[in-house]
Amino acid sequence: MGAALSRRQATTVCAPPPELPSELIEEILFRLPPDDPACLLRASLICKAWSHTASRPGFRRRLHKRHGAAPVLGFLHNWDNECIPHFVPTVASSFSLAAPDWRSWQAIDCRHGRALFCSKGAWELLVWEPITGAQQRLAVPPAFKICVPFEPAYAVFCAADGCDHRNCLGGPFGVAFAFCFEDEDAADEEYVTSACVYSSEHGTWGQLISMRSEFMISFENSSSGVLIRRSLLYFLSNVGSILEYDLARHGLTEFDAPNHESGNDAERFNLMVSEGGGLGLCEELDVRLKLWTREVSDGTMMGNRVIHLDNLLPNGARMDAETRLIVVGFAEGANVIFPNTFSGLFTIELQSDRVKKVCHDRGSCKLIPVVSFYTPVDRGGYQDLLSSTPSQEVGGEEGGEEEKTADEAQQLLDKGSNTIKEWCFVDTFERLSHDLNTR
Amino acid sequence: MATREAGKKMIMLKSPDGMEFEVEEAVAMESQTIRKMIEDDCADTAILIPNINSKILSRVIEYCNKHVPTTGATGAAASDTVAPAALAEDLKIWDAEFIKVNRATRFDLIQAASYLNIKGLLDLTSQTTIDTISDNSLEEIRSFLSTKNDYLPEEEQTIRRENQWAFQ
Repeated sequence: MGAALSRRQATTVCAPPPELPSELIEEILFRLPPDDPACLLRASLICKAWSHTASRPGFRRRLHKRHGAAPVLGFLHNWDNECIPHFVPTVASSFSLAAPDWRSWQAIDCRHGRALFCSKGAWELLVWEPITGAQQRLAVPPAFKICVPFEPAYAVFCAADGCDHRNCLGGPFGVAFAFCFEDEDAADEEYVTSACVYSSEHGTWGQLISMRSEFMISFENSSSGVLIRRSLLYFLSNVGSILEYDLARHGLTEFDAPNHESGNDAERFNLMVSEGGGLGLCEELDVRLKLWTREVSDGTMMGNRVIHLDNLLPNGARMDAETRLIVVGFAEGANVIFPNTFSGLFTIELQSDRVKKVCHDRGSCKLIPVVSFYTPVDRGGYQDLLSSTPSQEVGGEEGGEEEKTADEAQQLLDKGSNTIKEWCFVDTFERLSHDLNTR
Repeated sequence: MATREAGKKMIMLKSPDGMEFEVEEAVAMESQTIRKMIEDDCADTAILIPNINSKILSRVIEYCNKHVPTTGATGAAASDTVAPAALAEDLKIWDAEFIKVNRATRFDLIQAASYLNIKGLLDLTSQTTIDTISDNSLEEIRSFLSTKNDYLPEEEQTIRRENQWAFQ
């Protein structure tokens, strides 16, 4: 040892602290593995101080800072199977989320910590926050009810300006809605595609924008859309064309997926976010996947990678070549695809090529991945947290970056507190028991 | 083994219970808090470390001594003769022995590591608690932490019922 000790006073004054202070509880909690939500839930049940620390908004920011991208907690599906809960976990340990009842609600999209459902048999939508359990219902746009449209496309997203989505639960959100109908009076270009956005802040649908086209655009059975660079939404139609909805400029554009033949072959495509953050596309070619990237400059699609699934997946994981439906989901924000095989469902992390079997069951339709850090709900009440000062919540050792976002966070929280009052915190136990009973 | 050489800048750390520890500046600078004080010229020759008693401070210094990069002015560093992987393994074994302390000492070390901003020590001291949370029942975790359960029985029951998945 290099320390030389000299003793001046022979007194010991510091007794061991009875409890860890909250900042040190946080030091421990944010080191827990993010793909093992049971650890954090158990830790939150040690005592109320631990629960409060784990559910503070600033804690979610620290999780993002330490672990980077949020994990894929699981997926929502529409498999029409009573034995499988609506939410299927893909994390390391036992996990469950009390998702809305699949018999009434069909999962259609999930982004920024919010999942979107449409009702079966009624013109209603439901936005659900998997982490807080908060729900809000909204009606489809009035225009959609008047015409006789084809299957629409939907997307949900955080609507807070400049948000980094590390801590925007309970904040304002938007729902984009696009649909096509036939204008029987028109001589040519008789198909009209319209789109509009619901704002939770205003509680209304915004102005409808439309474009005409020669062919109808329907979104039945297609994968969920992707959001690129804050304001560009893309939806894949049944016939392999891609609809671009520019939320900032209120514009609609349609273009074709590469190599698509006319006909109902859109199922072999999945929209993705490319490595550079632009629009990507995954094309199924038997047991290979070709990944495309859309050039920002001229909009052309460039093939930039081929994945040989039979090399990546374990032996015996045979693909279902008959239905040609191999990739059944893309987890936006985690860059993970879900290949479907006879022996179950897998995930592949596209950056690392890490492969994991996540489910023994398999279904023949697209699924909706849920990407988020799990944090328990505070037993003191979520609304109380919204009134706490963000400087305490987002400050700490992170320094500059966190300080910069403090004002922003305050704005989000102010906006969020208005929104959250309208949210409905349903009895999670009732829904959870249903999910557990169906296992 | 690296030895302290003549001419190396030394710094005095003082604990609130009156003990003084003379350490190499490089060792003290394993603490980001102390590093900042030195770099900002806030430290003259002695730094008072509040809230950390001499027993804990001496353990912290012991940790920093072990973990300070071993390249000296002469270049005759341990890493010249021992492979980095072996050094890392040696450190791991040393860390495992170092952290075999009672709960009160470990919590004091967590607090000290946090205050002095020594990332490696904070990781090491937190990890034992994390392992306990990962591998044990709630009662065992509470006992390990000597923490009082302040949930009402019905409150705990409700949380357990709503989150049965976490207790399987």
